[in-house]
Amino acid sequence: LPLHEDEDTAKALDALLPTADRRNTLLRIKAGGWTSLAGHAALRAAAQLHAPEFALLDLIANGLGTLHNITDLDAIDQAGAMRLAAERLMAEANDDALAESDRDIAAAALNRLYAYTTEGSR
Amino acid sequence: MKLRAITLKDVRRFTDPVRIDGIADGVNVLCAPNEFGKSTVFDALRALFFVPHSSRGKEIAQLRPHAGGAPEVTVEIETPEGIFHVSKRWFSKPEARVSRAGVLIAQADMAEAWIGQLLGGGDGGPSGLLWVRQGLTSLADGSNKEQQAALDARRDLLSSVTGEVEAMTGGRRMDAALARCREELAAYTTATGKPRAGGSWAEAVQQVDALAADRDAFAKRVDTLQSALTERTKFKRELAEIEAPDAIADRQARLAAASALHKEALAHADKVAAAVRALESATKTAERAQRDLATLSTARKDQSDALQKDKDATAKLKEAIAARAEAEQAHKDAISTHETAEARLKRAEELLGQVQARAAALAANERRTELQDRITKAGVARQAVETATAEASVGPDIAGIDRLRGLTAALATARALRDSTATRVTMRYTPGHEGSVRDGDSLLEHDKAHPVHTDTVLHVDGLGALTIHPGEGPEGLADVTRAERDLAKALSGFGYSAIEEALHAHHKRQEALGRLTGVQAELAALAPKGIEDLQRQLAALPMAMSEDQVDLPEADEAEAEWQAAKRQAGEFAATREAVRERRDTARTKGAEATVRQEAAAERLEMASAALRRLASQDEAELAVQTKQAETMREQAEVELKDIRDTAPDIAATAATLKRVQSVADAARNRIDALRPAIAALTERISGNAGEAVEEQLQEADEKLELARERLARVEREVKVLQRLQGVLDGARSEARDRYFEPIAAELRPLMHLLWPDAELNWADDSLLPQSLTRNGQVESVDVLSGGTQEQIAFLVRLAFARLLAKGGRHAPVILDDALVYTDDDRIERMFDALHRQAGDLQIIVLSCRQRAFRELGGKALQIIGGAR
Repeated sequence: LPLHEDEDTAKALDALLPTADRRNTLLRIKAGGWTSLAGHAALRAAAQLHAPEFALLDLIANGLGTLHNITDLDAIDQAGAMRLAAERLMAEANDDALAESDRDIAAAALNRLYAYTTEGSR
Repeated sequence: MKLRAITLKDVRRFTDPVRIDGIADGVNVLCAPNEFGKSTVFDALRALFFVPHSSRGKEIAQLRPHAGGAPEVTVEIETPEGIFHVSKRWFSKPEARVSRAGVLIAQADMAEAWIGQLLGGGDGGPSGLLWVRQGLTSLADGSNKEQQAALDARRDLLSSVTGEVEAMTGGRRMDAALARCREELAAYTTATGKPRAGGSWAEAVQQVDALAADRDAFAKRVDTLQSALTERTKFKRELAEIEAPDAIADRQARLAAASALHKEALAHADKVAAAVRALESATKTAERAQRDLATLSTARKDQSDALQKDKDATAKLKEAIAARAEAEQAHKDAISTHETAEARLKRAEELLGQVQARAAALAANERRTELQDRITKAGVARQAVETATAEASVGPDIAGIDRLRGLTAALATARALRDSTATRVTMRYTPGHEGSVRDGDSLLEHDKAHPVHTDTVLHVDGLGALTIHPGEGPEGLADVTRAERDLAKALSGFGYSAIEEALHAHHKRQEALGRLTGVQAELAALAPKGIEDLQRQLAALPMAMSEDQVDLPEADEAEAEWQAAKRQAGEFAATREAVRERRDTARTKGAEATVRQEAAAERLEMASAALRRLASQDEAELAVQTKQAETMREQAEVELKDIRDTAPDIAATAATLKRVQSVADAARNRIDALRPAIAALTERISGNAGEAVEEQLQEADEKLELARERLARVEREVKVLQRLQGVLDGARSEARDRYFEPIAAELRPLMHLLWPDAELNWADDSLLPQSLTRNGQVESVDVLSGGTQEQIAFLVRLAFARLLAKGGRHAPVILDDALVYTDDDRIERMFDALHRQAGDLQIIVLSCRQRAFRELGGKALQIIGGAR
């Protein structure tokens, strides 16, 4: 189940589940990509909701990255090139002179950098 | 630290102490030929500073002289704290000592620690960076240990001025973040940023494309269905309008009315036609009456006029006939006279031809006689030529006879030579006994030397035989034999046995040659182009004169007769032509008179006929009839005008009828077309309604919307990753530039001495230049020429030395033949670089290139003392 930032995880899971013969279906779903903490929760809730309908419904979500709301760039690095990159992305995300879409991209890139540096290698 | 003096003892070839002193600040140069010990000095310095005195390793073992001994090295150095003497000895009684002004400061391990601190710690310290051993011109040369030491030195140096490289560039965390970002991005895109085949981006794009295609197909079918419904509704409404009873009745009424009006118009048109015909008839009657009246008047006048003209024409015709008869007779007479003259001319021409043929025949007879005589003489001459030619080919020619004469002379010479050395017998007879001694058949002449070449028996009459043995015989016998053989062979080649025969034959040959020249000239005079040509000329001559030619007149008489006949024939021909023209004129005039007479007769006949036809008519009566006819014509005109004025427009009624008829036809045709069209549309609508096309379209729209949302999410993810990768790359590049900026700033002016606008690009891991940018082109250092690599390494070391000095860590730069590939032009610029950097540095240059390094300048060093 590949997921992307801002995607409705529960809806994505619903779309993936088979509709026929659920009682005789053994299902293991491996989620990947990125979502927020709320997205993680919604995905787990949706999996629990549909689990009784299947013979087995197993959700593996350890490959699904978590996106955070970044306010403290020290968590990424205190100095050096990493810090410089984080500061640039933060500045772009808060730059009203840029288009909304560009600011959104910069904020998402900063969030991803935070995830890389705090989660380490998955 | 600056070196001031170096002393070596028992180091390789220097078994006796040697010393280099007076080492100054700035550039110092020790220039000496190979095998002089420069590299020994370098290695000894390295050992002093980097090899513990307790070491017995290979590096120290290599310093020992062949005869053995304990290598000992001492240097005098200057530091901010003062002048120190540092010395080490290895192997026998190893020791390390540091002293100042004769006072021991440290020894053994303490001395080693003092040295290590002096160098800044580490195994190699900055020296690995600044000291270049012979043959190691590249920055990355040397053992692994040396390379690592140099790397540590560079890192230490750069970190001391700009911070840790890891901290600057992000280090492993940056590598991991970039790798993760690239890995995730690679799942979506290719290296050029396009969707990767099989990746989720490409899959999302394909899904959107496929669903969009499905949706378009369904939309097209829905549009088709909507169009069919709309069209069927329109057709049904149109059919209902056409088939309405009121519409049908209206079309029929309009058709009946138009048809009636058109029939009425056609009937009126018939009346107009009848009136026209009546008018035409009245007009013709009136015209005929007027014509008869005019004809009668004219005919009476014409008859009188035509009668007179007929008389005149008849008279002129008679005259013309008489003139033509006369001309015809004159023409016949002229033809006869001319033909007689032509016959005379022909005879005169024939006679003249015969006379001329006779003259030619006479001339040919003389030529024939001459040719026959020349042919006969030429035949004799040709026979003589052939005979002389045959005789001239027999016997030796001049060259042959000269050769024979030469051989004869040679034989005579050989014989004379032989005879001059031969035994000779001279017989002087007493009177009365002459001829009593013979050699074979020949008598010995009195008082004449007779040569004896071989054993010879002389017969003496009455006494017996006297045998003479000449011993070995005379000289030249072989030459005579060879000359005789040569002469005999040459004579045999010509078919003779004696020279006299050959001379006789040659004489006859020369005579024949002389004769041949004469008869050839004679033959050429008689027949320059050959006898056959003369025979051809003879055959071409005219035949001989016949007997009847003998009676012909003389040539001038025949010529005079021909001239007179020719003149007369010309005159009569002119007369004949003039008469013929006159006859033709008479013929033309006769024909014209005939035509004119016939025309006059015809006109007279016409006038007479008209009078005969109208003879019964009275002129007054004809005038009344003419008036009545004119009145009737005028009445017909009035009637026609009245009918025409009241006639309906038949074209308009026809057009109206055609239009109304076409409306009715079109209504029928449209009904015939609409009914099957409505049926077909109904069939098509029923089919699509069964497939629920609109529901399918709605479903396709929903799927497409979902796919587009997914594609948008994927594309946003790609943009996020691309932006993150760009920012990380840019930040690291910027940090790297900032990290290397101090060394780059030192290096830049040095580089520009060689390459204006050139920049070096640095590697993060090795902290060494990895590429050179010149004129916008980036070239890897590895692919540069040996000279260029060597020059870059040289300048980089100078830059690092300067950086060290700025940090208060002065270390001498020692270069042992560090420029071996550099050409003469660049080496001077490298010397400039050396002097530029040497301001607060100490640079010691060791080189064997004495001539090239003469231009370097600086302080010249010498190795003093020692026995080599």
